[in-house]
Amino acid sequence: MNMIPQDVNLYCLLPEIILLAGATALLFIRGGGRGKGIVPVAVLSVTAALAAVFYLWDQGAVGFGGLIVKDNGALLFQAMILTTALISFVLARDFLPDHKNNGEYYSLHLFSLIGMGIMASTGDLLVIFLGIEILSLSLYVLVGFMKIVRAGMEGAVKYFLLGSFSSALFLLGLALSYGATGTTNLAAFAAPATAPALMLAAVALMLVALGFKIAAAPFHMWAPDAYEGAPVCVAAFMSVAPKIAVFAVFLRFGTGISGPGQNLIWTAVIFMSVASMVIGNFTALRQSSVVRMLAYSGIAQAGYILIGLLAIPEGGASAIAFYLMVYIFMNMGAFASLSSLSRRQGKALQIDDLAGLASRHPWHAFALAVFMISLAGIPPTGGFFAKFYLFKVGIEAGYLSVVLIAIVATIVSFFYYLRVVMVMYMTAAGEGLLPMRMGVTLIGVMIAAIVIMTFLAGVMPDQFLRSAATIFPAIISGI
Amino acid sequence: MLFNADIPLLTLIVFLPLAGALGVLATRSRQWIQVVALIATLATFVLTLLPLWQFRPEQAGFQFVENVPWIATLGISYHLGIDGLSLFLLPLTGFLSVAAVLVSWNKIHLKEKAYFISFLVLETGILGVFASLDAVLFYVFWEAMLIPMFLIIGIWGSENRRYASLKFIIYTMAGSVFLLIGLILMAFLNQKLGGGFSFDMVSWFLLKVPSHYQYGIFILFFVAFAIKVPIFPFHTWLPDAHVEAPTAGSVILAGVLLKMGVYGILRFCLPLLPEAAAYFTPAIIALGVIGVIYGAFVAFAQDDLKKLVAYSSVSHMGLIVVGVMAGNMAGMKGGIIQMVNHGLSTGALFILVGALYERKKTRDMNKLGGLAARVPVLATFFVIMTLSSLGLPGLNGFVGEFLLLLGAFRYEWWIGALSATTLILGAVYMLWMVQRVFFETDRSAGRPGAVADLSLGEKLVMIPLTLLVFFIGLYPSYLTDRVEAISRQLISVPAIKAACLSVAANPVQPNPAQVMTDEHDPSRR
Repeated sequence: MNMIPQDVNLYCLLPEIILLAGATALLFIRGGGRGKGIVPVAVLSVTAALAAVFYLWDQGAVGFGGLIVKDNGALLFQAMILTTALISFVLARDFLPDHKNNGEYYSLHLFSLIGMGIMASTGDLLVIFLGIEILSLSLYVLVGFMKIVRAGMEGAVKYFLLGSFSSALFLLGLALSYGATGTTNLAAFAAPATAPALMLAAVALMLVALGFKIAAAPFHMWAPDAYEGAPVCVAAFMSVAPKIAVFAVFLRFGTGISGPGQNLIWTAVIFMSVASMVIGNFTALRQSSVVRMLAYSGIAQAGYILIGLLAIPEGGASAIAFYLMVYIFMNMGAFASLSSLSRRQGKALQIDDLAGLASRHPWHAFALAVFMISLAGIPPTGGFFAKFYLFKVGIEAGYLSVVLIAIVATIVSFFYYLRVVMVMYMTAAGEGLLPMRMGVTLIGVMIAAIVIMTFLAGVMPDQFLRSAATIFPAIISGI
Repeated sequence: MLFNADIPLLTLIVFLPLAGALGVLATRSRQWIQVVALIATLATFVLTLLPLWQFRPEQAGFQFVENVPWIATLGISYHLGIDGLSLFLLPLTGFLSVAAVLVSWNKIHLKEKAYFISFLVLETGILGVFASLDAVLFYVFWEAMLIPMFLIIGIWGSENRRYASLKFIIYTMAGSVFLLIGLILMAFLNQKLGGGFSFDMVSWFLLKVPSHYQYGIFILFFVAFAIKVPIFPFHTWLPDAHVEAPTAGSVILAGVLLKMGVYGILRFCLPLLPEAAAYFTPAIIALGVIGVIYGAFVAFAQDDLKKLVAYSSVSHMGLIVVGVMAGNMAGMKGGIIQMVNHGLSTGALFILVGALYERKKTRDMNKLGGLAARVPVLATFFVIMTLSSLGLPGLNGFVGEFLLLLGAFRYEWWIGALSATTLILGAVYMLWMVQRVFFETDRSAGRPGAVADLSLGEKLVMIPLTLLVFFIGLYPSYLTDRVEAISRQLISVPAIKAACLSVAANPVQPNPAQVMTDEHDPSRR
């Protein structure tokens, strides 16, 4: 690592600087005691950051002696993260009561975005660690943001303990790899390792830590509790955004790991992928709470995406990028549909509470059904092509058996995704639901937009796939 | 010519029902919802008749072709076209969809809008399956069609509908995801054997898939299609789905959905994987024969009318599978024609059983009887359709069954003999059903109330159905002429390809002229 960077190019941190300014400003806004102006400032800073991302698009920027690299890949992932945050803000506006302390919430949210932006745009292990820590510390607080709810505190503490443990593992791995190579730069991974055993241990430790952050089995234990305890807007956000950031890191790791340990690492990734698909899907079958079901479904989805990691030379990167983009829509959409149901209800929403939703709120039920069908990977929704692309690159890379396991796991997932549809459409109205606000609401408009995007990704995905293929060119031609 | 090549006729056919669904969505009044749905299905039906008009039987290959790139990055194109195999399935779908709307007229009192939207989306999916020439496009339609059917069974079905709908969708989806893997493997083979990474089926047809790939891919394909047909051990979803589905759902399910399985076998398994197809033929024929006999015996034991017709479908579809796998012209032509015939007669039977159920509130044959005198029109139609279903000469069923059995006999005499039991067993359970329902004394408890005969809407459906049954029965060459070319192609392609693959092992050059002869049968000697 170059300790004293010669070229401090602040330009390359433009999105992060905008977010930092916004986050700082939010801490001082009291909005006349009722929190007026907090949400606009938060939304404005994220939108400005998004604009900065588009401004940097195609021209790129490198700074701090190569520690920060804003290439198109990094910018794409950052744009996805910021979009997720915008959706989550709309949910939060509906979910959180107006309060002067809401500034903290949005401020922490923006800090987590900074962390993820840094993770996505660096090739240096130490900077990745910085990003992970900024992200994690903000999320620990956000999970426990509803201080009065006991389950929330339990989830937050669990998340915090396991999360700091995994951060420590990453740091240990970092130290070992520094010992092995003498640098913290990921580029060193490509060179033949001088101390293979040390290198292997380092990569394994970092893999565990990153696996924890995306809730891949067997490091998934915290996820259901944390999601259920957290406010819905936070649960939605943390089920998607950290995955995007961590997969950006994974893509930087790439196939660079060489030496005798390489096969072992691939075996570990296969194991994580298969375990996530199997454990996630089979456990999701038994859940009665919607959020827990979605948590386990998220674990399974992480397993699917890991298949793309096995196939990076064959275009796995663009498959991952496409899957994550679709995943934003379908998963955020599902949480958004739930948030307007579970609002201020006190107890966790059960699947059976959705009974008869289709009769009372047909549009709402339709939207939730579309997201479930997309998560299950049934055409003509985006989820289908996302899975299709992943399976294609998986087969191309020679992992047919892993793909076949994924197929069986997908069949299992039909049961619980379609169960939601069945309960909504085929059961008489239950008692569990609070009446929803009628008429056009911001959240309703947003859900409608997400439904359209989910269908668009399923009907005409070519535009995105083509640009993804140019950003992440396959090393073996054949896309 | 009414439609020239500039007008995308197939696109219009496939997506007109979807447009109709949007129309239904925008309609407020309950009456108008039905009217819009009827107009959409009728217009689609008229459009599906146009290809019949302009189809050139003598021309090989696909007609009405449309081909534009869709997802170029993944080698997927929007490629539509039809040949003799799909020619009659489009109007059959169009016709039965009109029938489905008419038999639901004024009878749906729960979520009418969603009901008709589901049917129209379903129709788009089915038509898309029959018209697609791109494997992924095919798959998208194939799967997208399941969701509306799932909703139709699950929302508007009878008591045990949730179980039946879940069983239906899990069975069929479980099969189709393996189909997806098979399709991706085929695209890689296309790339490996010189073409690009492409899902275009027309380019797949030119491939000579290496034999060590054929068996695996064949199994992946076959399971998906076998579940849909359904072939014997995979049939258990069918009776449940049929019994629980609303009348119109049963009509579409039996009339068209089951045909998609056979269509898939003929479109994918036989032309693409001839060697594996030849290898598995005895096993598949054995399963088909078991289906024929088993389905008939189980049908014989049923008291529930709908279950009886459902199991008779298992039996009849088994016979179709035997015929198309027999590898000769008679069986192939019979199979393709019988797909249409079975759609007509079984669809009609389900309409009539549904009509009976509405009037008597029971499908239990032990509680029915003596209805011939009270609902003469219904009884007449019922008897005609029963006779058509059991293959009375002069009606449509005879043409198909005769050719199928001829094909089975040519394959192996005892296979033919076993399959021919369908004639006897079919007559037994079908005629016994008619006797118990219409001719014995009324067994219903209490004093018999008034029973209305068929309504105008139901008559409007049944009259053209009956006319078609007679038309095909008396003028079968209208169909046989048009399926001649595709049947010849389907039975000769496996022979030619298998011969070419064995060239390396066998120094004797096969004579393509001999392979192409009419009744050549590669499985014998």
